[in-house]
Amino acid sequence: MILPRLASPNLAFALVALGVLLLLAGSYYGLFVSPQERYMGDVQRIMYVHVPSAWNALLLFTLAMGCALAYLWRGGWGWDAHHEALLEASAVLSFLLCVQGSIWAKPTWGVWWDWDPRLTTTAVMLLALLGILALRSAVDDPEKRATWSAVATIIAFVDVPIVYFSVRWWNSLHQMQSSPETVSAPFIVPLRLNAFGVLALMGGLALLRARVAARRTAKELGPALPPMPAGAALEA
Amino acid sequence: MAPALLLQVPPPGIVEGGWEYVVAAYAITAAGFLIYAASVFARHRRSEEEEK
Amino acid sequence: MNVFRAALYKELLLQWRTRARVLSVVVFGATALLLMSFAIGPDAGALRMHAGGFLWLALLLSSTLTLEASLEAETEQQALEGLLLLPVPPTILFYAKALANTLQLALLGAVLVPVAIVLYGAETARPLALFGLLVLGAAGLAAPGTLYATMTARARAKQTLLPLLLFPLVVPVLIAATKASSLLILGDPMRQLAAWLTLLAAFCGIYWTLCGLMFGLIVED
Repeated sequence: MILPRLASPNLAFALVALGVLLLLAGSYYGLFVSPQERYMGDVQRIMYVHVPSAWNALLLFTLAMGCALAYLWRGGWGWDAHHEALLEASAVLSFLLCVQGSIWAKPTWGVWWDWDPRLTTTAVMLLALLGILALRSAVDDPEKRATWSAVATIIAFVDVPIVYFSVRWWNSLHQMQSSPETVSAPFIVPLRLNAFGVLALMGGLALLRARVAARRTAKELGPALPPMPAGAALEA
Repeated sequence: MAPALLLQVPPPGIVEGGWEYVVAAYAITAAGFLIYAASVFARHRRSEEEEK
Repeated sequence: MNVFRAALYKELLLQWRTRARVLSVVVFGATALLLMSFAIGPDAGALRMHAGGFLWLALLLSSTLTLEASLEAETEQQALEGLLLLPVPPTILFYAKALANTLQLALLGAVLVPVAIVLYGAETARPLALFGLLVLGAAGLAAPGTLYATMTARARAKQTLLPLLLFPLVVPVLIAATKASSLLILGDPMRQLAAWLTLLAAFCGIYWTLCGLMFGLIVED
């Protein structure tokens, strides 16, 4: 197998550096420049890191789904490598989301976990992502691993809105929370900076992670014999 | 309770203080990013070295 | 249609021949039901209130055993590969297997309900509705369960992998089925039952279609 076309590591490093800079700027703005929110006070500042993590966790999961679809449709080990990398990145973000969400819930509602539909859906999504990653690590044949995990990703992705709505109905007796103010400029700036910061950081890391995955797959498949067309059964 | 005392109680629904929660959330997030980045960098370097 | 009937017959025959194992799954489910009451304590009111949830948790835990068993026979001696050589579309094999698993799970549920009635006083005034709910919930577990079991039966660490993949996915089934059972046991003054059954039916519709479409990808090499 020839290595699929992948982003150069320098682009990935540049993205990571850009992400760190944006995150530093956004967090500084969110922690020290933005005024206190009227109802939530300083606790509101958690939102400047929580909301960008949430957007990006969903975005990366959606991209992972896109890679899974592309692998099933078109084939190509590049899709599989990026699928694996994006699953991992979105699992990391989902985990951080659950932690931030429960830290937010404690001063706001007095409990660490309040069965808010978004938080609960994130926890389910994290477990589903960990399940798919476990499936990937438990299958040795690269083709089976790629196909099976792509199918599992599509199935889990379709589940996310169903879980969200069922938890919402389930919890409907619970009062709906008022969303904190996030419309005026001093609140939007840190949100935007951190959103692009998380995207650049995790995107850069995912590109590096995809290179690792592609190398490992290449090694598992062994050297391709030049005259044979790709995908032909060598053992037969 | 005397009316004067009632005035000192903050109106309901407003969260007071809570900087320790903010610090915890940012610290844990930063630590998470750092650990994950370190792990990806380490795995990338190892795979790069194996290639050579 | 004849092919489907033959495939379904094959699945049911397989389950009949492994009935000793099915019996042990029933005992497992009943044990789970018994154990859950110890988590609550001997408070009859509280036990009755949670009976629906316990029933579905016991069924969900047992389902991994039946699903694994239904695929184990296929992976031994590569029977699945042999089946795929037949001029039968894999989709038909999937629906036969999923339907057989649905029947088995619904029957398991029907056996566990009397246990729940004895242990928790979980009588319902609408036994037929409860049985319909059991079938619908079993169908929701069986479609993704059959697909995932087909993967995990041929992977390493299969015993832990199937619950890891299946449990997060079927959270909506667990929520809807638990709510609906509780409404049937405790009464439904707000007429919410239909909404939960619709959710369950929608989940089944989505996953019976999706898993049927995907099954071919999983089994062909």
